[in-house]
Amino acid sequence: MRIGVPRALSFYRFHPAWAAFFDRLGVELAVSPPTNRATLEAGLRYAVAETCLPMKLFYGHVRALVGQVDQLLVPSIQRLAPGSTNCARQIGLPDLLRATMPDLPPLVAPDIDLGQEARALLSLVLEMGAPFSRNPLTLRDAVTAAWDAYRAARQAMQEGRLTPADFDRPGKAPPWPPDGIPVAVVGHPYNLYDPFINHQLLVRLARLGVNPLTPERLGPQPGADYWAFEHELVGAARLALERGVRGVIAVVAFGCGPDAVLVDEVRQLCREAGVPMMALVLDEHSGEAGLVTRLEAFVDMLRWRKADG
Amino acid sequence: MTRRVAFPPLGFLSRVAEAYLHALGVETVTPPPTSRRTLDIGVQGSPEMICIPCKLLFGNYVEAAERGATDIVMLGGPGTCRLGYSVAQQARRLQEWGFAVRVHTLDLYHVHRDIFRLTRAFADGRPATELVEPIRFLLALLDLTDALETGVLVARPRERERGAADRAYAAAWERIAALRTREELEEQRDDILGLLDAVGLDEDRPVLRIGLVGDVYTILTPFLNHNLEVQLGRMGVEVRRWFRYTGRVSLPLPDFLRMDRGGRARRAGSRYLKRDVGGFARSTVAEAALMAEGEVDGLIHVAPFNCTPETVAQSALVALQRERGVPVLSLSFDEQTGAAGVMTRLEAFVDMLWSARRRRR
Repeated sequence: MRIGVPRALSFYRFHPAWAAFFDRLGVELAVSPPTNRATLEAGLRYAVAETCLPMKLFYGHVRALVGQVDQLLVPSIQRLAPGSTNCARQIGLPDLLRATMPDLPPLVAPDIDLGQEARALLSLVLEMGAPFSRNPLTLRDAVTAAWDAYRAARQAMQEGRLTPADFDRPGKAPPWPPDGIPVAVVGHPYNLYDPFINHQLLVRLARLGVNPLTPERLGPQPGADYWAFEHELVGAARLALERGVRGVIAVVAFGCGPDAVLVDEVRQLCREAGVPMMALVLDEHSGEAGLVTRLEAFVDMLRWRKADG
Repeated sequence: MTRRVAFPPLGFLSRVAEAYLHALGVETVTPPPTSRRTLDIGVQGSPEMICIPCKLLFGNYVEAAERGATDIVMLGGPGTCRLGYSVAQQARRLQEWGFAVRVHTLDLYHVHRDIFRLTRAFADGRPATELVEPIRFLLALLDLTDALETGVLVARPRERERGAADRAYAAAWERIAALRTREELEEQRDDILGLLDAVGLDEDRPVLRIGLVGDVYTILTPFLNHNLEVQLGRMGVEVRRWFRYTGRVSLPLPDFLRMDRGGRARRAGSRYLKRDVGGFARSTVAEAALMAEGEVDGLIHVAPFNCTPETVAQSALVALQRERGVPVLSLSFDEQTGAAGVMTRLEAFVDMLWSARRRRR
């Protein structure tokens, strides 16, 4: 039994938890290879034109797994707290996929809704684990292992020992310059840690002498969320500004519903704090040269401000 | 200062809302119809990448405030879509721009609850017993306007004299706007609907039936959809909107036991979109799936460009088209959409549906 995991969307947040969970159940996970041109082209064949680039890449990663695995892990992430909501595409992800591709293997598609009571979560785990183990103790063990792995990964990321890009091959130390200009780079992890989607943004920043402080490196972020992952932009920007970063870069995908409004909140926070802010909007047409020019200009500007001030 | 309430322009819904507020004895302010100016204001006051309904609604609120509204009913509510979040941003921006208005959110996921809540707020302490009659008036109004809205969509493609149906429709609305009580409404109901019945129709004329599904704001805003329903009517198409306002109250039964249209639609649609992803996406897909069971020749799906829930619906409709063989035309609208481009696509789609129907014979 092999379950395929598309290297997209929630992979960059929850993979350590899934890996531990299925490991305890004796199920092998297969992660699709890193994004490349072919991933995008495969995705574009299936996605509706208007959807966002991360979704298109998600489809591409699914195509890389179809035929290679027995089942596909496609969670529907709904709410992380009562009264919040998530992007429509992430809620409807399994439905979207089934509607788009007729030749899919069976889906493992749990509805992750942390806005519900504990009892609902319990039945979710039992239902999801049922095909693999009927023993509730094994399942409890698997859930505990998943939580522990998740917390350990968050801790490792905060300490700079791990990035979401390396979730399935740990041990690589990310090369951030510790004395670089501290700049908050806020956004969802699938936009920050997929070097294809953002033209190696983090590496380029490091080369320009910037210490990019991502939400994962900043640690737990404050604030109640309306959107499930609002904290990755607004909360992270607020926290970083409190810690005295010299600039903020918000990385968002074109066509992202929540981010369209969240970028404005980040801009507002930066204006109030008097800190320079740049929004990078990613789509399949964004060229590398344009990005490099904007990054260089932004970093130059930060240096001049320091020289003046 | 007396309270003057404004409701954003939303086709027949805003007219019903105003008639209802008048029946409650509340003064209203009618914002100007959505226009180029509304859009310019909205663009200035909204995040760049937000969808056009959010922008237009903000423009509507500003124009209402300019006309002297003291209270504005804003559309939103958590979980709906970006509107749920935008509504707070919009309220803040109105204050920043110096409009001292009270804002009231109408939660689109809890319309019935919020109608009652807003009624209580606007009734200024009158006892609940005095509100029963206005609410019954509101229900009767919705029932009447539903009949009228459906009637004009049926009459338009069949009218003998071009524009006759729309003239009768406008005349009917003048009568409805003057209604104040349920007794008046019941007395005049037949007369008002009779205006539409008096339009000369060619009953033998063959017409196409197209189901119109998608975002409600887009369907109800001719400025945004380039007068889609009227244009289709003139091409000989009977449009069936996916939503109606009466008959939506059903017993709280699980889906598989519900025999009403909503329940049957939910069952038909769950194959294509099972989860509620916000906005109107699930209802859109459910109604589309039911209409695809032989009720219509084709479906037109409209959405604002970049509407997140409706892009999910769009994918589900692709599957519906593939499995049921029902032709689907997806149109997305934003400030850059040109009328000529829309017309060309509509004409091509209608031609295609005619030839498909001829082939079936």
